[in-house]
Amino acid sequence: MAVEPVIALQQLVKTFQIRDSLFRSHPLNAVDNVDLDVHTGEVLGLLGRNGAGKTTLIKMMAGLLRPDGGTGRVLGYDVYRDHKKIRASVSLVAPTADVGTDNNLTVRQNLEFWAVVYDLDRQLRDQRIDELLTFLNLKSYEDHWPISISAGMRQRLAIARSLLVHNPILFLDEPTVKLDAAGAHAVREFIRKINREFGITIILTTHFIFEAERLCDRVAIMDEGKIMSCDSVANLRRHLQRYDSSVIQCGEVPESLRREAIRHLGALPQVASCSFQGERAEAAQFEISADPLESVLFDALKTLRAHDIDIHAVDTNQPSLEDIFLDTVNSKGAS
Amino acid sequence: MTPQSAIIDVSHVSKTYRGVSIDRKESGIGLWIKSAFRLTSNRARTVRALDDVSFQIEAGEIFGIYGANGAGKTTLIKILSGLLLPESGSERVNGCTGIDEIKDQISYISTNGWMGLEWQLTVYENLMLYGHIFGIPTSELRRRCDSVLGLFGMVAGKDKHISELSAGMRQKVTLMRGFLLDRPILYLDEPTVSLDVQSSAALRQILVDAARRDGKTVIVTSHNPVDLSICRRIMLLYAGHVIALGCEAELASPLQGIKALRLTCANHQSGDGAADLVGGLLQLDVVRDVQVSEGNGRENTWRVDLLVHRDGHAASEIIDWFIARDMPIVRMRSAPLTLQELYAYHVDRTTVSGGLA
Amino acid sequence: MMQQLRREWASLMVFSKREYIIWSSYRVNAWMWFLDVLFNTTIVFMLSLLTRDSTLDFAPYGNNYVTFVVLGFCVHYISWTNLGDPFRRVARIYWGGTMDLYLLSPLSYLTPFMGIMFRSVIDDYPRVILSLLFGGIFFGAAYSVNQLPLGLLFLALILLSTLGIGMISASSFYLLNFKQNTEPVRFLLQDVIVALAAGIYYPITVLPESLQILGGFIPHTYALDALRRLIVPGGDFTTKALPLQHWLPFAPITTDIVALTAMTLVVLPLGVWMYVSGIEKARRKGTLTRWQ
Repeated sequence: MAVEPVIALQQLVKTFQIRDSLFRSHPLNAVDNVDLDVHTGEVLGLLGRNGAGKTTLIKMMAGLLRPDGGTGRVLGYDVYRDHKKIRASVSLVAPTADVGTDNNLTVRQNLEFWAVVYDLDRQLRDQRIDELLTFLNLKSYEDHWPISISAGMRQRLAIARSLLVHNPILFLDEPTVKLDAAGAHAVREFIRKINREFGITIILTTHFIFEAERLCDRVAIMDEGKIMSCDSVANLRRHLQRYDSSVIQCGEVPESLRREAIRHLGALPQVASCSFQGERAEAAQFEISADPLESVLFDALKTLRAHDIDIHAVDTNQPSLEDIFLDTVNSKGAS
Repeated sequence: MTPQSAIIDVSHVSKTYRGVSIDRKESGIGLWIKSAFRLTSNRARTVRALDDVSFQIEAGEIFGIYGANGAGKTTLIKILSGLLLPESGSERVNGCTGIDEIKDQISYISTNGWMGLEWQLTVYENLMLYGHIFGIPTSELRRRCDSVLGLFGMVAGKDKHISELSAGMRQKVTLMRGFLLDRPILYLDEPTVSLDVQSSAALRQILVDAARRDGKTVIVTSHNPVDLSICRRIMLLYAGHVIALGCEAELASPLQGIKALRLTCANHQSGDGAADLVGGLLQLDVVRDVQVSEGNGRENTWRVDLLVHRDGHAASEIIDWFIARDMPIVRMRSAPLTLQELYAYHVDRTTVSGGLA
Repeated sequence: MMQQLRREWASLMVFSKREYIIWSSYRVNAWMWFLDVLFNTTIVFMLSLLTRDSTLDFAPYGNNYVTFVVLGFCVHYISWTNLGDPFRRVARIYWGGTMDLYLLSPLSYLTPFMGIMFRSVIDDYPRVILSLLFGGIFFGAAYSVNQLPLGLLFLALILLSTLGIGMISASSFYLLNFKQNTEPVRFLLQDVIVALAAGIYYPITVLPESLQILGGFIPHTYALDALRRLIVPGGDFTTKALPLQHWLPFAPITTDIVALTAMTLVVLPLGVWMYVSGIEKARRKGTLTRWQ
């Protein structure tokens, strides 16, 4: 991408002193020589185990924590000198939703308060608040106290707060924690929407890895303060150097038809291997390995259907992001 | 199941809350004067948090509760742990009916907030403090602390101060604290909220062991279906009602003739792609339900989740449909129905049949 | 610049509105507040009945004991807010985890700090007016208003100087890492010196010399001295009473102005500087909020 990255970090370091006893302490590199570029308008996922340094990294990018070494620019501002400007132009949702929600103020009053703090234009305030309340299905609760609505609703309120102003960067620290399936889905759709419609760059952490796979253009996998790998899911998958495979279960396939089908399937580009199993008529299955599978699967299905073979089920077997994540985190000792 | 073998027996329990709503017009000095002179507010709404709930849990069972935000899970567990009196109905927990005895039967592990962890103390000191509050003798307490620290893999971090821990580690401390009390029933409210994948898996194993080896009864609520995969039976809760209860196969039994197909197809159409997809696929007789959402990242794909009839040539028909439209399928799987799909089905069934007032 | 100021001002207003809504949503609290001021003033009245016939000498501070003590209360109400409260408020946003969020806004470091103090401002400042009113209406306090502008000047000076000390006290939360309920600055000034030396109920002149000198190090002493001379009927503008007034060749009121102004000029910038450095330190150590 030719566009200048919104966030560019080089060799960023943050060290905390961990107290062992009253007089002794040892340093711990919470973030250890991190290089990271975040491009304008992308959704970047930060994955890592508990204590991998995700939150520390986010806080440094948001200007809430001063790095101990390295250089970094966020929105063109230096992380050391211009942290005030950085802080004024990024938004953050913390995993503890109740933070920043005052229980003595109604849902709407809470948003009205933050709208002024975030310096939202007076003319825009009411409209923006209505918009957000409607979108997050909070409209009917606008006059309730936060303490009387459910945890999931409060999480939405926290998200609404962070979206009052459309800052160019939004940090989401576990945005769908505590939400039920429907609520989490709505929030994910919303994240996608604000990313597309307003071009807001989003950096999110989550422990639901499928969520990162759904939402993120790229993911950075962190472990012990280091970024182990950072790429799009498709590229990470490619690095695993494993062929994607697909099992196609079929109805009865006569001997002649089977040879014909195998020959056609094998001739498709990118197909590495193709085999047929199944002595019994009702359990026949084709197995195809290809790299990448995505581009040939449809052709394979077309071929089989053209031969009038009844397909019972198709199971493509790609390494999921979760596999990639576990692979990356567990293999660091080996490499 | 006979009531004798049930460690928890809840029958016809209901609970209603009085919520207070305030009028947005009231603000400023007006609000002050009104609130200063009107000592009670009578414009209260009532919320029926639990409505005639009955169920039993067997000793040694891992029991799951699944429901949307606000379905009544928290109210239910507060009643089960003796923190809240039901309005009507009765409960028997481990042979106890009195509220004072009930509260000593359950170890309630809530990960909502970090309430009760002392920030200035270390992990170990916190556990010791908590144990002492519950009157566990010191030598016994030391033994138990060491065992839970080992169980959760926190031995190395036992002398860290709470304020130095990451969110996930703090959550482990709240979990450990719950395991410290040797009570027959463990209740975990969203135990894996900020735990990473490995820690969640480890916790599930711990729970399975607790039930199998030590005969503990474990109750879990979660929004993450993976957490409930260890449960023998799952109770679906919706708007204060039990809408279904059973093992996953039982929950799925009304949908026996249905299977799920999940596929991802390229989206190179203009126009309202999602609505076209849903409309088109629903025309097929084999299709019972379709959900379409955008695919991963910027892949420009649609994820299509189909519920199709098991008999017939569902897969072939659907593949033909995509071939005819020249919309390449890039991924496809047939997977069992998710808990959320089962939940949605049961919610539909109950609301449509008018089971809910 | 103007826009920045306008923005900070708008935020201060909305903070005050929020604190007002919170304050007024506890009804019982509002009644208690009203009664509290009434009872405080009643106690003053009782004391004044006791002292009416005594030979105690209030020398330069006129002849109305109720007015004398009511003024003492006024300065202390202000001090409780400006000096006593900042530390607790900063602790509140730290434990509540909102410091992060306030910093992720265009506001300066100081605005949220001032903003969250409004709860006590709402609670305490009206007490000043109420106690003046109750004293006057029910208990026979009388006020001399000839020197009102000068009185207001002292009011402003005591507001600013106690706020400065308050900020020093608050900054110790981050700067010296006092995370408990008390911290030394506030404890020393508010709970020890003010109680011992500044004198709500008695003139400082009744104290031993050493305590009078100690009292000379806090602004309250000078504000009380001046306000009582100016506002209690029969107050005397020329007789020197405080140690510093004896040492300096000025008229007592002038000495008070000089001392208060000097103190304000030292503690206010020092307080701002310490508070900002405290936050900067927390930004390095990652201790802005309890939440990580």
